[in-house]
Amino acid sequence: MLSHVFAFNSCRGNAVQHATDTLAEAASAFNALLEKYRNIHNETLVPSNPPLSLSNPNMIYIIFTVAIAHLSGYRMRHPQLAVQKTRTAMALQTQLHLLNCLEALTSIGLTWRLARRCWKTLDRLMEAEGLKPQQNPTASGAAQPSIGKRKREDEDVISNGRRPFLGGARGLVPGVQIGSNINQPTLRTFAPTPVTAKPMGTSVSVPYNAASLGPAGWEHSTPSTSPFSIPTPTLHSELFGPTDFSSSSRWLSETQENDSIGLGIVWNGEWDDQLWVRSMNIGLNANN
Amino acid sequence: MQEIRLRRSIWNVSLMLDLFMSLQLGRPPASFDCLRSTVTHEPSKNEYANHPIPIFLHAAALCRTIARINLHLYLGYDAPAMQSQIEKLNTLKDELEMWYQTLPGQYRVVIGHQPDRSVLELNMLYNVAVILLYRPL
Repeated sequence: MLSHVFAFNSCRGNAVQHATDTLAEAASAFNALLEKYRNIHNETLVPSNPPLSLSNPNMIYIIFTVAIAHLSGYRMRHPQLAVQKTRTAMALQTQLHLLNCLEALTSIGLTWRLARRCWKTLDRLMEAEGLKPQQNPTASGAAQPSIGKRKREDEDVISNGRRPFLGGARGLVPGVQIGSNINQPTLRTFAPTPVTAKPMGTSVSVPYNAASLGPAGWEHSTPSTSPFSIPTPTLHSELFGPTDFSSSSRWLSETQENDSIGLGIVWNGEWDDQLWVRSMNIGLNANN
Repeated sequence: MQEIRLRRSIWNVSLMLDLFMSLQLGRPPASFDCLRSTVTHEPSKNEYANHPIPIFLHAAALCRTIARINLHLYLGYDAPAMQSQIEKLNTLKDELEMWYQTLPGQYRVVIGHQPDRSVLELNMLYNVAVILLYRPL
């Protein structure tokens, strides 16, 4: 009888393992595609490829779902790994995938407020899991190449004479704390400094700052949810005077007021169907 | 013929929008009866060949499979041949695999090749379907 129970548990364990592996594989494949997708949107300035901020809002759900899949897979597989090196490698890989999702949400957050809420939720979930680069010294080293790569992309954009992308981590001036002047209605311009002028291949040591990935570019977005009302950098100075720049302060107050988003959602590591719905309902109630 | 195609396209777009709304709200889709029905309209090879945007038909077929995953696995609706979780899982897994096998090579992402935006979106959606199918319940 006991052997039957053991065999059943063993089969079940194998099935769960297989499902978890397949899940992680699909989530990783998605991230590879997301990277390509972001490149298409950011590098090709043709009408058929609008910026990622103007992408379909359903993309938010898709990205958020995959991010949760990464977290679930990490939560399920990480404790089972006996070797420390393997555990660290897995944590780094998950972290990179999640940062990729965060950056995509940052870009989409320029248009859609829902993306900002998802960004915030995901950021807190990462923090809860100890997957934020700042919290893990080893992990931060792995996250830096990605940040360095973005900086190199910015250099390329400038050298090609193209308009720098102001969303997310792009367009941030090194040394300036984005979060510190979030209320300032100043139009951020990209100023090449010796830090950004480092040759390709060298990683730039940028401390992870949640604000640098998130609300930095959002202060330029309008309160409207219509994708057609997104101001371009040229339109900022025309449409928004210093007093009209309410979106940044609203976002900041949103951050302070809506701490309940983080407090109301307690993630126990299990897949939670209601997480999305609760996040959205809280956001809707907050807006009402 | 043109009108039939137009009507089917509108129906497919409605199904897609309904699917995303249902997924995001955790509510049953409005196209509930259509998804439970065993009688479905599968586009013929001729239809794929003559359609101005064939990838749209593939996307619609994928969305239908995802909608069925949502309906049977997440919302818990049974069907004649899908009573237990294992039966549901196997049936939906076969459906998804079948969809991927019939996907033409030009709509798959190959290493070293920069695909179109629509191809990327289709493949991203496929991976989401796999995640929804295999995620721990």
